Amino acid sequence: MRRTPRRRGSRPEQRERRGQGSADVSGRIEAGRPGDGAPVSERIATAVIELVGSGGYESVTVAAICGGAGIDRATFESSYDGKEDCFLRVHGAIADELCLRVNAAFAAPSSWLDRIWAAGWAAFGFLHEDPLRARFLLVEVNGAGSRAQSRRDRIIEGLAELIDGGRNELEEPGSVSRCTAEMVAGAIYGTVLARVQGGAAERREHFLPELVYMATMPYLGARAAEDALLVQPLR
Amino acid sequence: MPPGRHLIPHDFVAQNQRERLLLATAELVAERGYQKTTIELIAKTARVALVTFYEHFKGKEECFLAALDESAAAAGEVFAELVDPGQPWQDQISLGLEVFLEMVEKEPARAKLCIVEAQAAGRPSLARYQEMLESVAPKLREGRALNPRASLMPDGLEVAIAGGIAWLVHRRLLAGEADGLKALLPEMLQVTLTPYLGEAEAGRAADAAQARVAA
Amino acid sequence: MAKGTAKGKGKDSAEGEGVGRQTTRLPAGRHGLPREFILQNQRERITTALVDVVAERGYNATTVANITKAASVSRRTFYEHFPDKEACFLAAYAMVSSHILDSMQVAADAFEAWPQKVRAALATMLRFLAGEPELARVCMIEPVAAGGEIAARHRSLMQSFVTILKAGRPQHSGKRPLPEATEETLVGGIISLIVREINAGRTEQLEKLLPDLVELTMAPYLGAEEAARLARS
Repeated sequence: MRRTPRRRGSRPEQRERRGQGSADVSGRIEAGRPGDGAPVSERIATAVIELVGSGGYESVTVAAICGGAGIDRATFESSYDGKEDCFLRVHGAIADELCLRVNAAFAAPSSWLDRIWAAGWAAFGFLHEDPLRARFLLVEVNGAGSRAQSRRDRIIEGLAELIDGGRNELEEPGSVSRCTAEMVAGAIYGTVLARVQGGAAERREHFLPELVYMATMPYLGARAAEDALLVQPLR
Repeated sequence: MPPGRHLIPHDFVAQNQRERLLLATAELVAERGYQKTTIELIAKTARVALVTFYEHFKGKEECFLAALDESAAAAGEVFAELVDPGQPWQDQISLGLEVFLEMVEKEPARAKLCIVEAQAAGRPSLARYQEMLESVAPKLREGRALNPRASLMPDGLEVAIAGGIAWLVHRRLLAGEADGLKALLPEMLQVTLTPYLGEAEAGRAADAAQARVAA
Repeated sequence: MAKGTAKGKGKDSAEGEGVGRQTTRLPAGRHGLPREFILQNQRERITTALVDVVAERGYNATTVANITKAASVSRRTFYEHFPDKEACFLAAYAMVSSHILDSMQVAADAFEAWPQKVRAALATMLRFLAGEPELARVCMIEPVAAGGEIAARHRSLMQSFVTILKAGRPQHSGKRPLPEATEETLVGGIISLIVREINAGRTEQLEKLLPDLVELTMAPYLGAEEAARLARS
């Protein structure tokens, strides 16, 4: 089945989320711990991220979220339909922010290779900025139900779309299908997941070169891809 | 089993029950997901008493993990049987990949269990999934001997490639498109072999695989 | 501070195995040492010897015989470790470049801001090359002359500096976007200046280049004034 590439920036879940109120977690980073003055959605997000981080999705209760956020049950229930809904919204907001930053970085340079690097730097900056949030975004989503799994799958698809642009670097763009980009995206996501699981975000590890190596291998060839491995980022 | 004298040894019955339970688990989880599969349902589908379930497994998780392990072991046996370690490395990889895709096409429920559901059934299960990916690494790694610049290659490359293959299959399983998987063999092979052999050689292997699949 | 360059002066380098000059030769005969240790020791001796010989004769004039003699290993031992002279050079090059890059990273870690990181990294690189004139020649001059795989690897490594610099771009969006070729030009310029100094026999004064290099490198991002301030501080 021939798949035509989708145009960038038109992912459905991006459009649908713009209409809803969503937990804004970007403010967390500058403010550190949100105090009483922080908006409710922010405090809920923080509580969810911490609770899931310490005990896993299964262990989290609405009561614990309310306690951690310093709100009463009624307030929670006026905004969320329950634990899963809350998790998905918090997760969605984080995923959106990452996508925004990555897409913005991707848009700037003019060569595909530079775009891949720029997107990568943006993603790593995001991960290292807040390791707990990184862990929440990538690791905890696995145990959080099928809608969360779908969300994760969409993130990988988004990555595949960025990578698929490499086809234009080939002499015959038609010689390779979207399947290659999907496979590479899966490989990259799996690598990032395993590393974040192992504490790479806390240790601020830089393994972007190996990811660029994987992303560029099918489109620029083995020699050019290996060049990426020589890059040692200045952290 | 009715009370009284039994001709069939208890071990056999137990083994048979265990197998039925594992089979039921695989089918149910593939169909409705891990969360929605209950012990009652497993026992019922396996035509086994609830009490008997607990004779074999402490709980749902243990049963699921056993199903995973058994599938992985069965797959390992198939590979061992069909892939000849005496063959050139790239031929082993090509055949191994083809065998894998065929296994998925033939038993999509079991494949879904190992590739999709394993990631969503708790931390021990996720750990098993990781182990499955890692088990492929040593064979892939043998290819490094063919690359004069192997020292540059990242350590996690093999596991990453396994993850990429798993992801492709994952997508198709979710979309109910397991049937068309073998058609992806040439492209998957190209991506897999390029880091070791370079794109030209990998392309040749992919073309040869294309011919096999088309036949 | 006087810096000896001849073999045997034994500069110690606590950080880098194989970068220092003194590596002991194992007594002949059965030593009861684990094979891995012997291999590692031999490999280090060979790569160290290669650096010395290439610094003296140039890559193209260097033969495997020259290397084995300097390393006090047999020809057979050499070929147990490396298929040829080129592979040996690539290994040495990889080792030295990793060492320099790691040192640059450590220096950059001491600072939070990108411009300071870049300056610290540049300073470290210049200091290292200035302190090891033989290595400087072997890493910056010889690879180009060697051609083939070695020159390709060298070009790739220099190109990687372009990628590293580019990573800083998003933080410094000026009033108008920078030309695409900015980093390429900067890195090309930096390397060209370093090579000029080495060729002129002024390797040991390389650190004098630092202020100018910092100012030129950071000017497109910070503006001329701030770049000058950074360079002279």
